[in-house]
Amino acid sequence: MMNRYILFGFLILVMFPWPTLAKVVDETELDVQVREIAKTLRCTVCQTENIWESGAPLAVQMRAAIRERLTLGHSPEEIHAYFLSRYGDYILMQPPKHGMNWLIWVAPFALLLVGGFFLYKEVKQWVRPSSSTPQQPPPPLDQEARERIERELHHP
Amino acid sequence: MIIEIGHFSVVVAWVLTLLGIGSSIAALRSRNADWVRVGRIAVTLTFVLLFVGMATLVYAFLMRDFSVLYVANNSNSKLPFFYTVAAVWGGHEGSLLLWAFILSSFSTLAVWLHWRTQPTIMPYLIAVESAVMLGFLSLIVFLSSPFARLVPTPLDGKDLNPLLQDPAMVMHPPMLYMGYVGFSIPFSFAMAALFSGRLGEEWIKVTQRWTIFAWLCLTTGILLGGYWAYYELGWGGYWGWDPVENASFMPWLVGTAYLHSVLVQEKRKMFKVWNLLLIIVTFSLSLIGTFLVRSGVLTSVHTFATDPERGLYILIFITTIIGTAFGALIIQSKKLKSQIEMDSFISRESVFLFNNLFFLVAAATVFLGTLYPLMVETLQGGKVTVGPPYYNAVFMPIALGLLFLMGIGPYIPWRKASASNLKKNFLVPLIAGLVTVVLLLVSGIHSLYALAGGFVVGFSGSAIFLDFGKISKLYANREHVNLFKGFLKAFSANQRRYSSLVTHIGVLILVIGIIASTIYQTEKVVSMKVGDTFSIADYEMKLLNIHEVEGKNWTAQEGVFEVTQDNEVITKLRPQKRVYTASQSPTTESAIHAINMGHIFLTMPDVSADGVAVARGVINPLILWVWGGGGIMGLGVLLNIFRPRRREE
Repeated sequence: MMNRYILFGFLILVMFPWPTLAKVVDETELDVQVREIAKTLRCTVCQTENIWESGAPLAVQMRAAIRERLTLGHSPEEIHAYFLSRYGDYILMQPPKHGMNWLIWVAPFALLLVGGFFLYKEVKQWVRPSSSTPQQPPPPLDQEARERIERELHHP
Repeated sequence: MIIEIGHFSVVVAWVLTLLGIGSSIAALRSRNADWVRVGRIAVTLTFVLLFVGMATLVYAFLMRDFSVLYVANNSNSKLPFFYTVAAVWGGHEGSLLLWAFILSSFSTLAVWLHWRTQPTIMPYLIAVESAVMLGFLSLIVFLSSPFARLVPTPLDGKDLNPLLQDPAMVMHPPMLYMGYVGFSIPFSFAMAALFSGRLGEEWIKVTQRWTIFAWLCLTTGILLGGYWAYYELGWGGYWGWDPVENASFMPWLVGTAYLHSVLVQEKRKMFKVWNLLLIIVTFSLSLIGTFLVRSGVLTSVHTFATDPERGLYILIFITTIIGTAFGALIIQSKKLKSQIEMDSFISRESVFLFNNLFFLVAAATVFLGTLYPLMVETLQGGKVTVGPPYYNAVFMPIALGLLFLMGIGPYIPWRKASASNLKKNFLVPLIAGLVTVVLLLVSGIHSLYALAGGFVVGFSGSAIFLDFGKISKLYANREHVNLFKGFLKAFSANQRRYSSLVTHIGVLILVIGIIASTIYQTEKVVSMKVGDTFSIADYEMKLLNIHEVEGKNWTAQEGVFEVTQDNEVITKLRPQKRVYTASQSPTTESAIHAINMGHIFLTMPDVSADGVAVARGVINPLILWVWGGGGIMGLGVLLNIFRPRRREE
């Protein structure tokens, strides 16, 4: 009879939904949204760190503020606008594209274009017109070069 | 008492530096070689004295002599031995002394190494090196001495910044400084060329190995910095476009342009002014890099020393050096007008010019981005942030352009490329690039940057492998050996060229690593209790327990996470949340497991009183390619430096 109890106990052991005890935690859609927004905002008390990466208390508060606003139904744009109105352009991880900021957005590509154009024109100018016929006889070898060729031919 | 010996040595070194400059000038005026010998003695003794200075500081750290202010500020009685030595350059004063010490060892080496072959250059070399040295030693002696005493002596030191207590940080500053300082040798030779009027190719040939050595050190230093940020800062990335990182990246960019551009002058005797300009800019940016980091002008996560007054001095010093260099260049530029002759727009010369353009625009972009916040603050009074999103958007196209040029450059002939030559060298790579794009598309990769990156990597990579294949076969047939031996023979027959191609391969691997780990990084943050599990990518992480761990100078809460994939246990990761005892400052220690060339990266940024832990998992695919690519780049440079000397060198 004992065997039956043992078997019963064993069955319970095996069939008990053990995995459900280990709670599976996961990010919610909200968590992901908070992260996306937090990555675009700067932690104002840290140095060039966004409030997602920063562990500063202010960054924790700001993340909480983002979460709160998202639960209230604010859109990411509204949240950005809120932080912008409180902290100014400084809060964004990249300079917003207006006013003087256009300078650093455009400068790299402008430099490439202007530089490239300038280089192209210069090189065109340097190219000798006569060189369109590449079959010029090579300049005669000087003594040193001759000797070297001889040397290297005979002692490879 | 010991530390005063160090202080005294450095003061004497300062005097000897003056003697070095004076004797060089005397040598040039009197044309008496004895004065040059005096200069050589001055340079050598400076090295010995700075060695003594460094040694006494190291000794003070090892003896934990907290009566020395610098030691008290940067170490602690519980600081482990290993980091006690690193603490010597953990702060402003010590790093300056390290800079000066490396400079003096390089100057001494250069003076003895080139003494016999470069007699006319010697006085100029000694004068320029001593002038740079004077600038640094004056700063150390008068404004920021690491030898100052602290009265009364504290019972214990304030401790080294916990973030700096990391193996990579031990080597990072010396490597970086060796890079910066290494460029001072070609810079001094360039200055010597300008002052002496010997404006040929001599100075470039003499300093060729110095240049690549400096480049190797700088590259290693930058990579170590990235490695440190990755392990220690705990956000799973290795490059944050932080002002301090940018400060080291700018001289690297211009230095790399210089490294390539000198080849044109060596082969074609053109662009003399241009190369002088590039080395002046490179060394200036090295000085500016030191200045930016050490003056506190740009505050950033890496800057641990801030003092604007010293900054003003460094600014004047740098302006003097740069001003003198450019002045000399402008005065001599008429003599430097080289006969520029080009046969075709489509030639290696033009590719090098465009390579230079891209590198300089890249450097200008980083420069502008780094200084723009300062500019806005001065001009408009407002504040603005230039962070990673800006650089990623702007820098990527420039970098891709450079990688494409890297594929073309080595395979386009000097002077003029014919249509058949282009077809022969670039048809297969072009197809290979397109095939790579198609393969990526088929495997579900649609990111524009990944595709563009795939194209250039496929293009440039296949060009190199095609070349390696061809030469191996050629040598194998000629010498009747197998392909591998043929490759080795071909490689050693033209080691300079092929070792730089190895470096190029390293760059491509690095780029694949960067693209994959940037675009395809997966991240997840969860709050969990012991027994909970979370999944990231196809890994499951179960928090088994959280327990206390005690280190020599810190205590930590350590989480033990069991990582499983398909119900199979892969490893256990143990991230920590540490608190360093002396400073009570917290750090997050990441736990990393390498798998499939990538990393599972786990941190535990917070544990609340009721046992809820915040866990942050990051999957960085192919990140080992970043470090591996860096290693191959370094290997290529070493093969280049230690190539057998050929007759014409």
